[in-house]
Amino acid sequence: MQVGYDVIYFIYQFLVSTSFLILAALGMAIIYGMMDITNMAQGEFMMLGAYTTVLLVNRAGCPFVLAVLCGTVVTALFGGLCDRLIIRRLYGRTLDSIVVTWGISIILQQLIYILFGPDLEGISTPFGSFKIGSVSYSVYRIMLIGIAVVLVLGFYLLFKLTKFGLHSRATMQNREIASAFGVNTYKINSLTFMLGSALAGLVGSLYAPLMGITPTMGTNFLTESFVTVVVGGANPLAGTVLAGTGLGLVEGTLSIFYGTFIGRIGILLIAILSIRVLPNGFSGLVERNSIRRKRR
Amino acid sequence: MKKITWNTENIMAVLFFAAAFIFPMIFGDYTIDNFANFYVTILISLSITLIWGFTGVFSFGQAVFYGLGAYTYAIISIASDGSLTIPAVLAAVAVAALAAAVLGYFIFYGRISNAFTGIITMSVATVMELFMTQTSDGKWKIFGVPLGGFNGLNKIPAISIADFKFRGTAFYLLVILILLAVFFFVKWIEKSNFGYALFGIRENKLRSEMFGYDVAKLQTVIFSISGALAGLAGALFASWSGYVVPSNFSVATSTIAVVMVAVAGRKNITGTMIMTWIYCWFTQKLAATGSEYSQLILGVILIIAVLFIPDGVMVALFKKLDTLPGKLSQRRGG
Repeated sequence: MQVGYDVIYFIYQFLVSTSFLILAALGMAIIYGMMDITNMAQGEFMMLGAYTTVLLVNRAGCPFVLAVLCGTVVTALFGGLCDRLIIRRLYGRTLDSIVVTWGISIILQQLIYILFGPDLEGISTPFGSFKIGSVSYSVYRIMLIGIAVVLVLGFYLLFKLTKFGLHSRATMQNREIASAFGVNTYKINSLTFMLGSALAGLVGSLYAPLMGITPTMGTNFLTESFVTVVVGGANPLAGTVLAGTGLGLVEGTLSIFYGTFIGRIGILLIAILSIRVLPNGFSGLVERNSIRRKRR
Repeated sequence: MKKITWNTENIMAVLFFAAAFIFPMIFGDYTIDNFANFYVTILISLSITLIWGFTGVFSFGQAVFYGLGAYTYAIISIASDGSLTIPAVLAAVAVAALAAAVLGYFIFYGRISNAFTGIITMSVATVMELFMTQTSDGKWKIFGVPLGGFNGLNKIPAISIADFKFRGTAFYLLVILILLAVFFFVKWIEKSNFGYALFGIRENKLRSEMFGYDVAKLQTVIFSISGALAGLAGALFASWSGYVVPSNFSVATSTIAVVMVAVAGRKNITGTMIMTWIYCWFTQKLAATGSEYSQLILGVILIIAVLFIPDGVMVALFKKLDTLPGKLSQRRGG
């Protein structure tokens, strides 16, 4: 019986890690994969979402779900503003985009620090917990696993079935040809950036009850999301899901036996090693296999 | 020996170092002690110019190597009770260079896109900071020196030769001499074939490869050199301040240097040195308003500089001054 409990606990820990990695990385992966822009401020966008949520719940007494929604919208709008003012000038300047988005992250961190001080009182985790054997499981964390699955499926359908998806995939493959065929690539890029920001806001808001609310909380997301995006490669969905699962397995296992800090170092090391073996990440692997299948 | 052209940039470099040697005669001990730290920051700026300006790789690794250098110096100098400070500096440089070489090996031979180099190095810096923060437990010891966790290491002996301790003005002059040596070294790289190969990589990696250059090797080598410089800066900082803390690893330490390199002109070391100095001096003067806003201002300056003056303010200024005499004589002639 005890073995059964252990297995359940292990699967739970693995899924918690995996869903966190996928959620943290999805927005960044979409912006990087579609626009070739590395958004160093992605973590700060998440922080923005978390702050909006916490402030609304604590100071305005807003229900949690509505606050999460507001956090998402506020961050999306902020992302849109950044795109209009700054990012738009940097399409095609990959290296400069890193520096500038890092500048945005410094400004956001400091601005929030000046406005709200070194930390905010957090909000309690909603929906309680239940027990299997001697271990208690948080209902909310299990919901987050579900949300990760729903988001990945949703984005898969968005990119495969809608006109926006078609246009954005065309832009990703070849900007000039797409725009010669009448795709407004600037608009697609703007929408993509807003979408990535909205995701950042959503994830930041969702994890607000589980984390310390500080101006630098974004850095906690950044390592995880970077690691997943690097291991995943350029394909925003397949790469991210595969990388998230693989790294989740590593992190989950290490966390159970050695604690979360070692888990974190573990995935960073795995990431640095894996780029040596798989330079294009899991996306490269997926692509190679699909090409092989077509040839047959 | 190539002939030195006396353009504005070189004249400014001469003036910059001349001023550095004259300052101790003008200002008091306290001011000079503060100035010493400016020049240490300038060392970080130069190490960033090497990797970013010359080679076109944007990295936050400087924070990692700076921190490693500071901790290495601190540990060895404390463990030897202040008797092995020069070897400690050398060890700091070696450890930083080695760490940079290993990290660089994975990054550059793994052919990671430039976009990810920034984030990888940033993650490594964050993890190092976290690691050092959780070492407060007594079991974390190197050479019998506890790492001290969040509080870091205190009472680090200053650099010394025999019984002479480099403190105050002596330390200041030591830093200036080191900076001068580093300046000539970087200038030499700029004019050497190695430097031209680096510029080639910056402008077009693929083309350099096609010409037969071993791009990954060159990048790893320059990354390691720039890491060594950052490590040297870290060791000097540890000796100057007498303490090291985990936040020495945080990316924020090198923020000023990165921004100054971007604003002054990332390909121009003289401009970078002058700009970094001016900024350090300004923040000191404005210290009354608090450092709260300085990060904010840095961020805004960085974005504006990269968006609108990609070549750099100092470079534009030097160019203006270079063409000024010609314009004046033209006007007189016409």
